[in-house]
Amino acid sequence: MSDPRMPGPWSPKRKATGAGDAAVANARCEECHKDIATEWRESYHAKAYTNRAFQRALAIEPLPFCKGCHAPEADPNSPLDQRLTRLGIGCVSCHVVDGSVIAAPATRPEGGHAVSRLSGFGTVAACANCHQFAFPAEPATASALLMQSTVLEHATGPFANIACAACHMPRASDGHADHRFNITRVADLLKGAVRVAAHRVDSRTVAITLSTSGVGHAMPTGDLFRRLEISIDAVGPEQSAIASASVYLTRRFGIRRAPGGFKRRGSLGDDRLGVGEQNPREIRLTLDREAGPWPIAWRVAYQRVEHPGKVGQPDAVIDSEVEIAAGVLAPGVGLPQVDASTTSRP
Amino acid sequence: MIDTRNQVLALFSTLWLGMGCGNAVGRAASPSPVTSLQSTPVTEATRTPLSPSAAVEPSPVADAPQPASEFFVVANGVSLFPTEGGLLLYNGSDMLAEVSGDAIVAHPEYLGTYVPEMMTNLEVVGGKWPERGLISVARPEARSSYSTVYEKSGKGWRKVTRLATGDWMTQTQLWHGGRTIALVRSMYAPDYRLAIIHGPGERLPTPAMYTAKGDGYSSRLPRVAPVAFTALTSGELFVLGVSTEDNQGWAVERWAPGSVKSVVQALPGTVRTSNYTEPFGIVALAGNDAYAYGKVSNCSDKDCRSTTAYLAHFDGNVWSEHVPPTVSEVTSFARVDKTLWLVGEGRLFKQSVGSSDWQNVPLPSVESIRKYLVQSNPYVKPLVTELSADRVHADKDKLVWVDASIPKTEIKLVLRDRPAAAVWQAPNDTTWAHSVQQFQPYRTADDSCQYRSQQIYVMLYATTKFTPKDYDYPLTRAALKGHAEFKDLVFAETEELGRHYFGAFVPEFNLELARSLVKVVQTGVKGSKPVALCRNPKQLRILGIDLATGAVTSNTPVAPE
Repeated sequence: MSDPRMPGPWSPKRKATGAGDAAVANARCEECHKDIATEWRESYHAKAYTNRAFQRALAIEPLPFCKGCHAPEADPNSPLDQRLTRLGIGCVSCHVVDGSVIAAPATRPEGGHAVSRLSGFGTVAACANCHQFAFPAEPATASALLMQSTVLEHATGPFANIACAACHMPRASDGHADHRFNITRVADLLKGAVRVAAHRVDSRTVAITLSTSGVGHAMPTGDLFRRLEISIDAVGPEQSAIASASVYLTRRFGIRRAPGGFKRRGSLGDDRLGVGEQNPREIRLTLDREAGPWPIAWRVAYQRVEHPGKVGQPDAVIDSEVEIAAGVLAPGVGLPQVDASTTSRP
Repeated sequence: MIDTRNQVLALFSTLWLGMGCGNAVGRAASPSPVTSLQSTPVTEATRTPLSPSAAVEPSPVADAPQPASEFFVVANGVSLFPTEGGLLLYNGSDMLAEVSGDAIVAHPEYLGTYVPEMMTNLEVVGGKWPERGLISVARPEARSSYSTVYEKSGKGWRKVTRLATGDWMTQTQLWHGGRTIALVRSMYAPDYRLAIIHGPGERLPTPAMYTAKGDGYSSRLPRVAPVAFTALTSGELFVLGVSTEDNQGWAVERWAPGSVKSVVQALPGTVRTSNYTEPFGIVALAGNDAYAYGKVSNCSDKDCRSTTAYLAHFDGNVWSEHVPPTVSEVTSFARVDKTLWLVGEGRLFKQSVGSSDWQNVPLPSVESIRKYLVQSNPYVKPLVTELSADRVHADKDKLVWVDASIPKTEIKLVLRDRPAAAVWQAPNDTTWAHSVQQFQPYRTADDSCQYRSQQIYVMLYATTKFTPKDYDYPLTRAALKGHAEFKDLVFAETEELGRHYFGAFVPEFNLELARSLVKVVQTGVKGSKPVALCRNPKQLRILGIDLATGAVTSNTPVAPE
């Protein structure tokens, strides 16, 4: 599914045949391609190593395995060269392979250097090198347990024939591909990716219906830190919670015993949107009897937790979140009520 | 006051018990259906005899005749954990019991309360029980994990080793000279090593390695990526795995007694075009008598829905294929004298040595054993009529044990080819006790707060996820207006275990002042249920209140630590 000719994580081969001093080479790219470089500087590719969430996770697990993708220009097995780690996924990380500058078939005039135009560049297979991979100790087999499975999700989804870049690198007015990769962690785009409707089934139960909209993979996808939180609170005096319930849509992993052999990590479940059968999917949450006379606030949030060990639990430390939709359903009168809005907070 | 406290605790129960993953409020308070079977709390060692009795003879019902089974239910709610010294039963969360002679013994020190990590992470049970038990719990750490090993001697547990992050103790075996040997794998590399966990040290067997050369680089790899291993007290060691040198055929790495160097032998019929072959286990009865099993496939990488069972025998020199029954996999294997036993696709088979026929061995029908299950158990659906065999094991007394389950339920049963006097039920109270401990962490404020190094915190409200981040509690401020006695209190939004609260820190362990605040807010804010607690929650935001006017004087987030 991946394309070994395309760029990917650090490898000894990259060191031997890459961009020379990657920091110097990257600066040279930025000198001429200023507009692209400005976009890239805003992207999470540029912040791949330095962003706070990664640094926190790396502090817990300082693995060369992680550094390989987050700082592909730096040898993860050696003391890290900060010039190279700060580069994150630089211009050279994607555009220089075997000492040659590579790019997609021409959309802009050639610049001051030779470019190898490759049809495979910018394809799903090229992104797969870093955006789909197994857990580190998994055997290199087709049945290996994937830590990230975005490409597989995409291949089985409704937009399988559309390349990642079509959504994640939209064309600017002058025709160049936007290098901000502005989909993930952009609140408005995330909000637009999930449609939500809620109604109060009875005095204590709320049904929340979710469906993805224009998303070519599971929602959320990517690393193990992400989840959708669906929660309801019966709102008492002073905005207090009389009763609460929540559910988390995410992937869950645990340790399972292989028949007759060792225990190994296994998937315990995956209830993210866009996985499996139901789209839209209805989730019903029921509160304690005390909730009956009170309004019920509902909320859907895209969250990134500090540590994936608690990604399915309510007491996970939230690193960041985007509220996808929220609303309040009044008690009693005229059930069922429908609140299909993405209600803003009062 | 008692009523109020109970109400407040009920509120807390409501809020906290409802926070289990995917659970609506209150659901977590109920013990699981499996553990709600007849049981008694384990406070001291209990001994349940397993001597034969007609009381547990299966009794097929007239309208659903089932072939008679030679297996009998002996325990409910547990799975087998065979060890070198005998058999243990594990309830999957927090309790081990021991098969001791013809009885099952549930020792309280085998409970999760003594080794809390056992609750969910028990990975390996080894050692020579009951004198010296070993357990290894795997601590998942995000992408990696590591094993912590505990040893039981007498009545106590002690931590004997914590392996490095990424190192897993995958299995232990009793080896020669009273040693217990473990196979340790790394989460980050295909390497593995053998380690002596108990007993005198000696030169360790070393796995065979080779240098794999790629395009511009090379790396050292073990010749066999291990999947299972077994050891004999006579000193032999066998590691079953996948060869890293060819196209993923199976291989067994074998050490003779006293040898640090191994012999690697490929298993016939396992080098296929597909990656979907999967070795599952290896059983050695002697240095020249071992079996390896799993599943293999001939299909392509693109489409592989069918696999076939695989079984091979080692005679001391070579491995040769042994024709298994017609199933898609062999997931467990045992031999008693001249009878081979195996499990495949949930069915139990046996074969006499010298015969080429495999006989499907029926398990008791669900109807015939329903009397051992709680009558109203919602997990026993009427349509489910068959037990599924999960594992087969032969004990030192040549009894055959089967781990069985009812498909699509949580029900686990242990069967044996000799009946027991009574079916042993896994106690459920342990799980319940942990739930209470885990989800009700609050202590109502009293004079003990200061001895606990905790402040008195009057929790006024649990906030909702919808509560604005700068909400300034107008009703509460109105209630406090004119109450200058609260001038030294710090009103703050706080956070614990992912939930936010609004409350007040009371200085100098002034219990009377705390109770006074509870009363004032309870009276002034209709429907509120404040409670004074011993607690040190994390402060998120301080709300300054002018107690003369009830106005907000400041509303300041607390800088993160």
